[in-house]
Amino acid sequence: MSFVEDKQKIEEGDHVLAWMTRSDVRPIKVQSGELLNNRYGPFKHEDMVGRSFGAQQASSANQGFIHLLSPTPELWSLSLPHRTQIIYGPDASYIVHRLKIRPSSVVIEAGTGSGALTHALARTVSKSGKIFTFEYHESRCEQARAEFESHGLSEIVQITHRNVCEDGFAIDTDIKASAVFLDLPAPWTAIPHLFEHVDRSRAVHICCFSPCIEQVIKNIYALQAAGFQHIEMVENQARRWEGHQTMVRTVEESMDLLRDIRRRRQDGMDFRHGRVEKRKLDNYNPWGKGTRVREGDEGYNWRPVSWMETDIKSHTSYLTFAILPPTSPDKYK
Amino acid sequence: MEPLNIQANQLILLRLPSQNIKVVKVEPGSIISLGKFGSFRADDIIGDPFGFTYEIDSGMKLSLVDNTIEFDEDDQMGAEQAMTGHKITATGMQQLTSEEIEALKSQGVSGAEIIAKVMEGHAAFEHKTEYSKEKYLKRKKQKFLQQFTPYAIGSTELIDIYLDKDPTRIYNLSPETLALALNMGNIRPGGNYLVVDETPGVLVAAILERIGGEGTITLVHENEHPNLDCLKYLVLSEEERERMIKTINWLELFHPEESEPVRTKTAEELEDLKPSHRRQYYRAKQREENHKEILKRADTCGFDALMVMTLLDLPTLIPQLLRFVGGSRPIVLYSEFKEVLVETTLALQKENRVLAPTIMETRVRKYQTLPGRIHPLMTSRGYGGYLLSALRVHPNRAVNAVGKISNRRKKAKTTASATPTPEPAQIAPVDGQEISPDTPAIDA
Ligand SMILES: C[S@@+](CC[C@H](N)C(=O)[O-])C[C@H]1O[C@@H](n2cnc3c(N)ncnc32)[C@H](O)[C@@H]1O
Repeated sequence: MSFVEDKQKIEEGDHVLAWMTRSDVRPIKVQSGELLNNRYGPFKHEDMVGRSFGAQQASSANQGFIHLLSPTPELWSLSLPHRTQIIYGPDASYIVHRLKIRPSSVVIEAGTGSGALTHALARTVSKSGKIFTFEYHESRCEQARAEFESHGLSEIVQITHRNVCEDGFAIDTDIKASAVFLDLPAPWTAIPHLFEHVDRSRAVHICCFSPCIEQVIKNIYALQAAGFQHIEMVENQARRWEGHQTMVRTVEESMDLLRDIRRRRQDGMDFRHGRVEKRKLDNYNPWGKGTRVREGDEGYNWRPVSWMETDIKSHTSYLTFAILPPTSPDKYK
Repeated sequence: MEPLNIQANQLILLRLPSQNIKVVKVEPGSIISLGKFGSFRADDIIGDPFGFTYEIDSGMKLSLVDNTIEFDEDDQMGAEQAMTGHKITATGMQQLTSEEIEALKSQGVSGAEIIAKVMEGHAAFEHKTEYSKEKYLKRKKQKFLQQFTPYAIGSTELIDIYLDKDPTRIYNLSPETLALALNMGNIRPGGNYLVVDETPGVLVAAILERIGGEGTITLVHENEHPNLDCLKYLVLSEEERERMIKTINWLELFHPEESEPVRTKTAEELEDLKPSHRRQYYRAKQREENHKEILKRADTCGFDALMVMTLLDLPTLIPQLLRFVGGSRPIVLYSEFKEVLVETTLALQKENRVLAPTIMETRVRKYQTLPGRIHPLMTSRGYGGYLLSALRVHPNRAVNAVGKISNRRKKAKTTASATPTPEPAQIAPVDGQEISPDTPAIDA
């Protein structure tokens, strides 16, 4: 199971993410006899077996290729079937960092949604840790459960079908979480249910993820009232660029172009007045006008530039962090 | 690695209400001075769990603060003015402790009612002209509050320490950028990572945190000896350090043939050595062994990620490091300057050994969250750096030709009306580059 370990070669039954482009990444489970179909035609699963992760594979019809990638939470978030809004890389990584999640941490998450963040949390807590995740939408819960199982994460992730705002977090296991993440419409109604399920012998870190400022205000009140300290609200702005090259066109060349036009006009006049024979003058074409120039082609000058992605996520949510101190030792009572 | 309780002789970070930080050693019997914020006895906090905020009362007596309140950034109203006519009695907002919530529950009070009660607390608080109250608290806090909060030092705290001391030593790295680098690098227990870290070891420390004792970091360094200064802040045993961190310098990595082999000594020779020399000998042997292993990994499966933070020229360095990286494994490069990463991207695009090189930026913006006056902070740090993230892939000769054909066909169609450029008769590999010699033959 490559979601939980680093593998070199693709075997029957492995999860592979087939990459065509960033916006077309398909999750597949390798099963001989099966086909992956995309606009390049069919790709046979059995051809994938034995290749190394990262290999390029041509379609059976030789129309194009895909890259066979080993799954990571980041790639999974590009390929997963969306049931809800999901949390992407920049927010997910900051959440893991600020909640001080480490291997063997125990984390409470609600709601599970599409399980995008759950995968990132599971990677970090790893087999020695545990994620207790809650989802009240029944089919979403079942779909997420099936995915966790299929990805070999059932040991790490335990999902419960539950409305945590009404019924809290109590399950068969005694949860002693050190980190809590709430991504649901009313985190403030879930906060008072947390006390018995967090590890009160240590500092507990919480994050409420809410898109609207009105929700933030309620979260802050609820956190303060429940004894959380060091409350801090932040917003994360992430951007992406691709590296490209743009042609360098100098004003000197531009003037030479103008001179060239002048020269041709003069030549045409000279011909019409019989001063010269008909002749073909060399075309001065420093920028390749009228020809197909590809970025970086030789014979031109290029300058490196960055292209920003066209649709940026300018607001994901507000992240409200806070710390619940441990229960006071007797000496301070 | 990070203990949950404050240990004797541990280096810890104290955060003060003024936003200042201070690193102190918790030496038993010592008195720790925080300047105008007072002094306290180290013994009083040894053994306590991290997570408390302490107040220093008279006679260096410590009590726990049950409510921390943030600063108001824009102080135009003036604390005095805001205070006029208001008597402040409570020191914090009303809160329900977990015991009280338990008690309510046992009385059969429902969850919804408990929430209502909790929110009532806030309403009452808000009533007391919260504006002036907060102003008062802020003033009190700045002038009189002798408070501190101890933190175990991990990667978050290390960044704060260097940002405070000298941000250039960590190339202005922000916590959010480091966090993103760790996730993009898929860092997790059991992984073996190739790391270039020319900070005093902040990246190494952060990776150590995420591998949790299982896995290795192979640190390539510039000078003869690596600079891992910041590991002194961590609670890390010599054994753990040696087991998890292997070091090799650039010359040893790229030109192992130039290193002189350590001559094996006989048992008698060893007998005759001074203990310190014997230790030195074993160390050299171990280093040699590590290097063999590192180079062997490069030739077999490759490393599970390449993580780089250096001032060395990335466009020329990275292509030389690709052969050490395993298939489908991440490459994450940090630079303070986007321009450097743009050029690196272009250098990598000439190769077909990396997929989708992307430059990323993440910036966290903090807000003031005082009731009724929520707004982003007026000033914050401008720097934070950029990441280039990509995946190492194995190109396939046959496939590349195919990709090229379909690409050309498509383009030819869409540009049919434009003046055609003559197509080369022969199909060359992508971008005219040779398939790199290090590519395993598996897919050819
Ligand atoms: C935005 S989604 C979470 C997305 C998730 N963080 C991800 O990255 O995929 C919010 C989820 O919370 C669930 N939810 C809302 N209220 C809930 C409650 N009271 N108890 C449990 N789940 C709840 C919703 O059904 C929804 O699936």
